[in-house]
Amino acid sequence: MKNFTYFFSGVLFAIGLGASGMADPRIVQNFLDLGGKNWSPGLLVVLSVATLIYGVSFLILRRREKTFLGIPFGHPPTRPLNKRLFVGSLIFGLGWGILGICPGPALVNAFYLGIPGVLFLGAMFGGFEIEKRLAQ
Amino acid sequence: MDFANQILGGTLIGIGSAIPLLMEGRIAGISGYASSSTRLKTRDGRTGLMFVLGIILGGIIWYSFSDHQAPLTQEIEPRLWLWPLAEIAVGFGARLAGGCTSGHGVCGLGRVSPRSIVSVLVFMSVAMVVQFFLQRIL
Repeated sequence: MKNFTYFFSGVLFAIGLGASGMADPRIVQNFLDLGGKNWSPGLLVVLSVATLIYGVSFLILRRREKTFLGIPFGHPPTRPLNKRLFVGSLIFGLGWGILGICPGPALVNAFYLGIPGVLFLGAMFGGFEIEKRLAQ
Repeated sequence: MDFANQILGGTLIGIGSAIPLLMEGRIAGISGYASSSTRLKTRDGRTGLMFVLGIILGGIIWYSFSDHQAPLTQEIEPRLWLWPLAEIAVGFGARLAGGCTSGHGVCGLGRVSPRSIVSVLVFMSVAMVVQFFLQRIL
């Protein structure tokens, strides 16, 4: 049941990425190219709607103090702004800016970008592993 | 401009992100699920893998039932040597920062987390500068 919850969430998330256009790197690149002739605020609309739904869900949980499966829910710990956050966000932005593919679209497109898409997904998992090794 | 598709898609992304929170109290974005999915001995690893498999299946469903054509690699970025660099940076950076477009974006902004607000502003600005250089200069 627990596994199905996550599986089903992933399916919804992916269809949302597809339907919103955000799984298509060309649309993301057009958004990132401020002042470009194909610029559209679409990404901000998608992010705002998704954030609003998540935010309301978070407020509901904080008020209930337990999840809908009865698991206690406290206030998540707040961590400080640190160098890891800045450097990590900078490096993530460099990678995202080159292709317009962040981890969600990389998975949605896993079988649709040919060999580069697969290698590229492997490189992303490689990036995860490098960070884990360095963190140890 | 008509944003019906963006609103519909954003709603599905919001619900897909919120279900693990509402049911399990788990706060995570895609890079969190994906990076834990290789650690199958842990509980977070197994649920992370289920989320990742869900996304891949959702992608297949989307491409099967919509008339949207997947872009060609040439249309995304013809300089193929940039691809692995970009994705190692995406994976490494997302883990170092503790989140990506969904973890710091949707989940973090939804919780009004100061760390996430800073992260989104940094990575979005950097990505805009990179696109500017790639499209207009290089």
